[in-house]
Parts: sequence; structure tokens; C-alpha cells
Amino acid sequence: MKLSTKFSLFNAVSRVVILLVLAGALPLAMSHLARLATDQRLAQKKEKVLRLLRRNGISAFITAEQSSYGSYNLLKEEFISLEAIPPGPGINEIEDSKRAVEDEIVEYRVLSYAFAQDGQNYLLEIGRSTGSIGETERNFRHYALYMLLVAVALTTLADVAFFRYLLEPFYTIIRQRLKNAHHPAAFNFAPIKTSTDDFRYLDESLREMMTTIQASFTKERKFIADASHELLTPLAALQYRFDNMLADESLSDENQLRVVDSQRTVHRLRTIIRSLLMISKIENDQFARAETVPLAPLVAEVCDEVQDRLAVLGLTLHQDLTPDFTVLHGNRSLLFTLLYNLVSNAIKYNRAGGRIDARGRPTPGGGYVLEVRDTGVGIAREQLPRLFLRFDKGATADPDSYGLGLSIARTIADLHGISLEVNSIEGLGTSFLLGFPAPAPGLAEPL
Amino acid sequence: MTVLIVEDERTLARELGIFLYQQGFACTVARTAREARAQLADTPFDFVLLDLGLPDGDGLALLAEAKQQELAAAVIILTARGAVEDRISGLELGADDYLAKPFSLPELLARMHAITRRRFGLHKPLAAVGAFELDLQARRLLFGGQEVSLSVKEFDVLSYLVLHKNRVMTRLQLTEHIWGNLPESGFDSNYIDAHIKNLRKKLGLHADVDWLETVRGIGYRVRV
Repeated sequence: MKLSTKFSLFNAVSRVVILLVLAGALPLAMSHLARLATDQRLAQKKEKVLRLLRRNGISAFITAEQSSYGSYNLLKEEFISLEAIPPGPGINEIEDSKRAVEDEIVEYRVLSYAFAQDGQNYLLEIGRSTGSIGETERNFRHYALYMLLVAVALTTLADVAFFRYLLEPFYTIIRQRLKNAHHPAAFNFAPIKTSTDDFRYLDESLREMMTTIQASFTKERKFIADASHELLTPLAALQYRFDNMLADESLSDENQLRVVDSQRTVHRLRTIIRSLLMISKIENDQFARAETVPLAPLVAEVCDEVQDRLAVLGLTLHQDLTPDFTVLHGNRSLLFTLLYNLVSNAIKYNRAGGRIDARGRPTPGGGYVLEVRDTGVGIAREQLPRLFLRFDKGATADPDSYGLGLSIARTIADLHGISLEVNSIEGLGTSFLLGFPAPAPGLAEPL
Repeated sequence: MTVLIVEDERTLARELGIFLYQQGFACTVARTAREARAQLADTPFDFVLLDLGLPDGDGLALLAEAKQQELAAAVIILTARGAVEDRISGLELGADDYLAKPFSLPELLARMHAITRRRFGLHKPLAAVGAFELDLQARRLLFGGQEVSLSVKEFDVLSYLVLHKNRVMTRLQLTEHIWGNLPESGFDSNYIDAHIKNLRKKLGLHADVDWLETVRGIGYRVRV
């Protein structure tokens, strides 16, 4: 889970918890507040009525024929009553009480207040229906709840947006420094723009590390170039000398054989050095991958190259790459070597009169599988895991095998992001499967 | 024909010189770019064999400079660097061919002959071998004016042996000429033996091929 998601989730959850707590406490608080507000209102009304009574006198409400006055509004939400009472203890209270109003029992919050005027005691009662209080309370509660929900949603969205903005440099660092840095040679050292010190520190540390890596790769490249020159030059001198010795007609037959044997040793050394240097160069990204390579013509070219070897062993080679597949951003010469080595293996370990198949088929995900299958001697099960290791010749008795062909094939496949699998049944044959990935969406063809 | 060998490795230059001298070339050795510049300014060579890793400069720069001054000689780049970029740059700068060290000297001679045929037009259109005629330009073998059908590789083996007539060619030298420098090139002497067997069979239908000799344990020779 992303850091920003975690932050936003935590904030959202914490707000929801607060909301729930508030939602639980809100009715009680609201009811208490509503009651307080009602009581305050009743007290204000009491003062107002008392002012009216002092100004206009009791007679404005209670005439000589009446002993009391009562009034309520149309919906019976409020009432006011005034009645003469015998002298007694002072009353000044507010309480809930039920009253019968026109054959209907209504619950009121009633303020009762006893006072004396013109030598007569009166009881003033002002009531407000608790139903109307409850409604106010409900409205109050709903609005509060809606406001809280809106507040949670808005602040959560704000959090998500802010975290995204805040962490953008972090993701840029990941993309630019780690994910898209395929090789030290192509490192991008441009500083990432950020106002966050922590990210700046992370970026600087990564750039320092990249500089170190790049330096060591540069050293390795130089070593490869030097080794190439320093190892192959003395071999060349030996090779020329042997060539000249063989041209000497006075050389005895015995010595001629010795020279030929030495020549084979030089050839062996040369091939090993070249193969190892090739692997190193591939691993060191010294081969450009800027070509568009259709597979069918490449397979045809490989087949053409081995025609004479097929004829010598009486082998048949069948190609079927319909539909064809095009590798974007590949190195044609390396892909040729990869296929050549697999086909060469299929020839080397086949039976006389055997068959080789090179078949391609698209995969559901837009990729492609190219299979090179032979009807040869197969590979022992215990040998399969070691098949692509350098210098592992397995059970082959071939003196001309250096155990590097499949190692080179694996290195080239890795460079192009091609999976390389092998299946084999001893005595029946071997199948190499090359899995070409689907072209990345939006990947432009090289010019 | 005159050849300038631009090579800083003393042993290499000497062995190259011996070989080319035996093939009838007049050789001069330059061990540095500076020496090479002086030689090129002084003598019109037919061939320049150019090593790229010179102690006082890059061979490619020397090549570019020489081509600017309208160097007429054919240039073959010889290098142990082996980088594809070097090969491309060299050929783009006007080199005629490129050989990665170490190569076999007969292979170098074959390339020089190919360049001679291509560039200087100094070739006999047909080389006689026994009762047959080899047309290297058209890549055909003729018997009594009629073409004898050969596969590409069979023609390569035969023309290489004819080019180096009266010299033993080892199976390894023949293999390198035919399959080049493919890694793990599937070198197997049986393939050469099979091609020779097929050649004898095909040519034997028309005339005697006792000029195509087997040198036991070593290789083959065309005795003319």
C-alpha cells in the first residue's frame, strides 16, 4: 500500500471514528442544548409577560368575571396561562408536564412562576411543546451530521491531493533513479526538484551511489577493452607464426602435425576469449539496441547459414513463423547469434536424419514464443539446471565444445528481456523456448 | 604489389611481413601513426594494413586523415578491439575490409585477393585447376565451358584451396574461412571432410581430381 494511501486512510478512519463518537454524543448534547435553549426562551417570555402585566395591569388578562387566563397558538406548540392562587410558598421552576388541550394530551416544557400583584397571588405558566423542541433538536442533529460528513469528505480529498503533491518528488526519484535506470551508462544525474529536505537528501544519496556504480562500470569497460587487446594480440602473433610455419615446405610431417595441434589450441583460446569478452560486453551494455528486427527473416538467415551442416548430417529444418513478430529496440547481430547458437546446438546434438523445427506463435498478452525443437539425444534431467552456466559442457563428448554457446544465448536473451526455457527428454529431443515480451504500449519504433 | 603494415607489435608486424613477402608482396612496416603518415606521404602503396591501437594515436583518425588526402591504397583494418562501432566507423571512413585479430594469414590473403579483384580489376577471370576452370568473379566452376553445380560452401572451400594452391590448408583454416568468427562456430572437421568428399564426387563425374590432395592429419591441398 502506498504511503499516501496509508496517510489518507489513517486520516479518513480517524475522522470516521471522531464522527461516530460525535454521532453518539450528539443526541445527548443536542437534547441538553435544546432544553437549555427552551428554558432560556421560557425565562425570556416570563420576563416579557411580567413587564406587560406591570404596564397594563392584570385586568388586561383576567377580568372580574374570570379567575384565570389561558392562551395557546394554533398548533398547540406554546401556551400561556395566568390564574389567581391562594398564598403559598414561592414557585419558580421549569419542568416537563403533560397537559390536556382540547381532548388531546400534549407534553410541554412548562415554566411555573408565582408572583403577587395588587395584593393577590398569581401563578404564571408558560409552556412549549416538547415535540417542537424535539423537532428542533432533530433538525439541529441532521444538519450537524451532514456538515460533519461533508467536512470528513472534503478534508480526506484535500489530504489525498496534498499527499500526492507532497510525495511526487519521491516517486520521481524512484522512477528516474531506480526504475528507469537500466544501465549505469544511461544514468540521469539531473537533480530532482523538491522543497522537501528529506527527499533532497534521498536524491543526493542515490546520486552519490550512482556515481560510484558508474565509475566501476567505466573501469570494467576499460578492463574489457584492455583485456581484449592484451590477450588477443599475443594470440595473433602465435597464429601468424603457425601459419608461416605451415607454409614452410621444409617442415617435416611430424612437426606439421604439431603445428596444426598448436593452431587448434590457439583457436580454442581465441574462441574462449572472444566469447567471454562478448558476454562481458553484453552485460556491460556495450551493444546498442536500436534496431527493429523481424524474426522470420532472421530465422531464415540462420537456417541458410547452416544448410551445409544440415546436408552433411541429413537433417531437415522446418521454419514456421506465421504470423511473424518484430522485436523493437533490438540488436540484430546479437539476436542472430542467439538463434544461431540454439540452432547450432540442435544440429550438434541431433541424430543423423533427424529433424529441427523453428516455430513461432503469438501469446495472448501480445508477446511471442519462438521454439527451437530437435529430435536429438536430449539432455539428462540433472544437467538441465546447469545448462546455461559458463564452461558447463554436460555430458557432451564434443572436443570442439567450449560450453559457452548457451551461456551467450542466455546473456543475449536477458539483454533483450527475452525468457529462455528448456525442456528435454533424454533420447527424444530438446526444445528451447524463447519468450518475447509484448512491446510496451506507446513504444515508438526506432527511426 | 606494395603493402604498408601499420602495426606497433613488433612480432606481429614481422610475421605479417614474412607471410606477405612469401606471397610476392613488397612490405614496409610503420610502428606509429607518425611513421605511417611519413610513409604514406612518400610512397604510393597498393595496400595499407592498419592496426587501430597505435601508441601515438588512433588508427581511425589516421585513416580519416589519409582518406582526406585522397589515399588511393586499399585499406584493411586489423584490430583486437573488435568493437562493432570500430568496424562500422572504419568502413564508413573508407576502409575496404576489417579483420578482427587474431585471423589466419591465408584468410588475410583471400581478402586481399578479393579486394584486388574488386578494386584494381587485376584478376584473371578464370583460374585453371586440373581440367576445370574456376571463375572467381561469377562464382562458377566450369568444365568444358559447362557449369558444374556446386553449393555455396563447396565453392568457397574449392576457391580457397585454389587461391592457396600448392599449400596445405588445415581444416581449421578452411573452417574459419567458411564460417567466419561466429562464436562457438560449430567448428567440426567433419564438415570440411564432407564438403571435400562431395567436391570429389561431383568433379569426379567429369574428370580426374587427383590434384585435390588429402594431407593426412592436417588438411587439404590443391596441387597445380
